[in-house]
Amino acid sequence: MHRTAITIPVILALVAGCQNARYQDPQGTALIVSLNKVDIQDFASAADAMVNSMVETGVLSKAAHQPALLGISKVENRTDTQFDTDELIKKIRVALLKGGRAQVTQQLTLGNVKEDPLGDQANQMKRFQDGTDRQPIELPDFTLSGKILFDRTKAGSTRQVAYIFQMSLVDTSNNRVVWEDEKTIVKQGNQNQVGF
Amino acid sequence: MTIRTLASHALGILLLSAGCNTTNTYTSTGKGGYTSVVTNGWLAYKATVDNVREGRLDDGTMKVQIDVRSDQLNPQRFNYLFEWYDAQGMKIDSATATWQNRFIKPQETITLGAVAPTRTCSRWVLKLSDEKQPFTPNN
Repeated sequence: MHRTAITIPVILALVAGCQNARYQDPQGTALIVSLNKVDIQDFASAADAMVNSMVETGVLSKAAHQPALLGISKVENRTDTQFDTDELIKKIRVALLKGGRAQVTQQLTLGNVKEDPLGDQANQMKRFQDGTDRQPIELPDFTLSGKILFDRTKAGSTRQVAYIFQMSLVDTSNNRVVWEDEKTIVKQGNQNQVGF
Repeated sequence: MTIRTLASHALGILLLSAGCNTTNTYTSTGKGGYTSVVTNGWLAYKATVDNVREGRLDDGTMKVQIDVRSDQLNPQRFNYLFEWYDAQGMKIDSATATWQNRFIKPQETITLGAVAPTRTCSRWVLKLSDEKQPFTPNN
């Protein structure tokens, strides 16, 4: 009786501690929820909110170019963890591009850093060969910028972290901010957990 | 704690431990209405669709707002996901689609909203699922 009482918890602990690696649906509910970082589902959720908000205002559909021409400006990560802000921005870009709402231009980029340098060189050579290299380049209708902020707090053993995603769209014809939104994701608990 | 609350907790624990975390699905008819497939009674008790509003943006993109009601006497959480389909019934994938977790107060009605990922979408599907089950770490 006494031996059984000891053996069963030990076996249960061993079984629980021996989970083999497995694939998970990146859109699913079995992903890890972390209290110390922005999770992939947080980026997806923030990008979804931003795209919905941007499309709902209708600013992109009123641009001179259709689909609207977008320049990507500064997107700052001001959290205490390091990540590539493309985890957010690329999702937004893909959603806008696949939805036929906007295309990103390489003609004008922040710090003149080209995402695809070969594509840019090919474009310059084509413009030279066509004799259109002296014509004005196509400038973006809008520029997209943003910040990701965080706030961390604690009450007893309960930890809380808030990630605040802020984005703005500037109309380059008048330099006005024509769309802005903010999405806050709050996570609370004692430790990271699998699934939500 | 009332008998009703105790009974609802007992039912919930029974269903969850039995592994009954199935998804409830609400599908638009394309004419402003919807049909529902409710396979999880416990989930429907804390998140059931009350009302649907469909509309179009200026550029023709479909948008939807769905009122979800809780009949529970305690605060609850549930997950939801919108899927979109075109007129031919083909699923349109969205780069930002993901299951989202939502809090609902006792007896509260909240609104879930979504905008279609493309202008060609003409039908939506709302999937509701219960929050993470106890006893099954990888459900």
